[in-house]
Amino acid sequence: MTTVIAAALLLVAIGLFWGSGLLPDAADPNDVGAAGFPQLVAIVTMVFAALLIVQTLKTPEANRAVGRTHPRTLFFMLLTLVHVAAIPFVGYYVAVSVWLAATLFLLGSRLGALLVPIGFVSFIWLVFGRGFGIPLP
Amino acid sequence: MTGLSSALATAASWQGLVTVVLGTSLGMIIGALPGIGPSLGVALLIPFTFNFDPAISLVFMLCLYQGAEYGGSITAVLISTPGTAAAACIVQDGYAMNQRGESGRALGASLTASSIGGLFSAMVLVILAPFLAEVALSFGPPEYFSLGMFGLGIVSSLSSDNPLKGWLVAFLGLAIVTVGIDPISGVTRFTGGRFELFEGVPFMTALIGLFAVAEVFNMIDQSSLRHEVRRRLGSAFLSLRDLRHIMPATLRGSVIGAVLGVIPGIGPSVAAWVAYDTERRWSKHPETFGTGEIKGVAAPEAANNAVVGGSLVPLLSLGIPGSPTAALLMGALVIHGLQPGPQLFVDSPEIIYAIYAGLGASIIAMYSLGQIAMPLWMRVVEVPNTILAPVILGLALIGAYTARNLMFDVWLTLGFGVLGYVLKKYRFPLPPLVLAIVLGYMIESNFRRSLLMGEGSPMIFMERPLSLVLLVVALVSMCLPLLGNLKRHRITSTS
Repeated sequence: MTTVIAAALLLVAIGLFWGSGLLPDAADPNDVGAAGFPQLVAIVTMVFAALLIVQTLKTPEANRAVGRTHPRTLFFMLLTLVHVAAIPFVGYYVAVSVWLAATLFLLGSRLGALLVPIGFVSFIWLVFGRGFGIPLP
Repeated sequence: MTGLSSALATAASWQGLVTVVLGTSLGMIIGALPGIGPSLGVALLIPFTFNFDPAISLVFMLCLYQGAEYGGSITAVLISTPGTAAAACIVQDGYAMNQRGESGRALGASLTASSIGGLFSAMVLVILAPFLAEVALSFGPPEYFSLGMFGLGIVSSLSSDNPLKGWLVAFLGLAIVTVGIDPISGVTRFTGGRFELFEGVPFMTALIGLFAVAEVFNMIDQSSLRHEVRRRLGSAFLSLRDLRHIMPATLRGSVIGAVLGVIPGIGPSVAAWVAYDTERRWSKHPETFGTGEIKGVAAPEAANNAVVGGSLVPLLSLGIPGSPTAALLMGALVIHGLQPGPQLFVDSPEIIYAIYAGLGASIIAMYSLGQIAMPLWMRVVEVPNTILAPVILGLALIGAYTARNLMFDVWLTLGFGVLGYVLKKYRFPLPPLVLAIVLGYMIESNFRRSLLMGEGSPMIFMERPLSLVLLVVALVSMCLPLLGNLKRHRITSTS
């Protein structure tokens, strides 16, 4: 998987280099232009990524994951994505209350699922909504 | 002396005392809340001070500034969520200490170091302001670029496990920084037409995602979630032994923060990282940094609070603000009909003394209130992870939103959270990525400005002594660990 990450970064660097090539040249000949710095970063990234790929292929045991990903983590991520996507439609307070209740229930805290959304939403309304006057969706 | 006696009378009045306590308390709360930060906090509260006496108004904002720089460390230690960009530096060691049941010790070190750093920079401001202002003036684009590269030299020491991984994520950070409007030509780069990215990727968004969100996903992963061991709180007070242990690191961090704070545009984040790295290099056991080393909390905390006084040096001496928050303080001075700069010392000495008194009072208030509030903060560690994880994530996402009131930033934070989670899983260090995001703009813009100044010749970096020294040190810092690591891997493969 480390090899996959390094390969992904290599692809990002290639994309960065190619994308920079489409940028206009600098008006001043003394300036490297908008493309100069990204291209330099892309080249160095490609070199490091290639070196890391070689290194991980030679010593795979040194690049294993730290623990495994629990299925509930993936489900939690999915619930979070759904809640953020729902905010523009149902509003922040409704979306976050439902999300908190669902995630706390998923994590095994049934009492928390009832009480924490109320406390959290009240805190946010008081501090951010009223205190700082920040309009929430 | 009239100005001094007036300032002391103001400080001792009931309005002065209420101002100091209120300003510092609000500052600590603002600093602890991710996404707000001292600049936004001062900006939001300046309008409330329009009708105050100018001295009281300045004291209030200084207390807010000082309190907020410390406040960022509270959530960094307790829930791995830095409240300010500068506090990102102490997440590694502070949160690790929390996990070991030493949250009180970590918070105590942070508070003590912040207070000492603040006090040191207040003394620097009073005694050395004119001299340091001259030093600040000598920094041009080549020196800023070289300082940025010097800062990037820290990457190797932040990735002791595998410097190659550290450098790879650091350059990923530099690539991220190229998104947005080019600083010199104004060309839009890699924004995909999204106006939200015209100013680039907001670095608080990236920090909150990489640290807070990634850590929440990690917390949920842990198999001990349902049968977790209750963490010990630890003592809220720092022992004499710990105080002696952190004092050299704290003093070094204070010097670094005060000196870097004087240079406009550097800010507390860079000062904190430089102090952290310096301490790590100075240590006889550098391998302990990142695993819960108390000096890894003390040094950067001293540095980021020392920036407060340092950033006022160019403001008062030259009328040039040393940090974004100092720029807001400058705005407050102007609103009250005062012109910052050397003439302020002549025309309104009572304002200068009020600033000095305000700095001193803010430190005393910060330490006292910090100690009183510490048992309350530490109650957070008693909350089970099943409840803490979603609450932290909720707080992180609201913090991401409040920076610019954009849902786009929330999505960006989640994206960085997933990135941070995956990188951590496969042992890619996150601090180099963060450091590159913090330094990237300074490095690119000053590199190009320097080339324009030098008519396209890179020799400009070599011709200026300070720039040359910083570059040489940066190069050595970058290359040595990398070569050492490659050599170790070659030996391992051969054997």
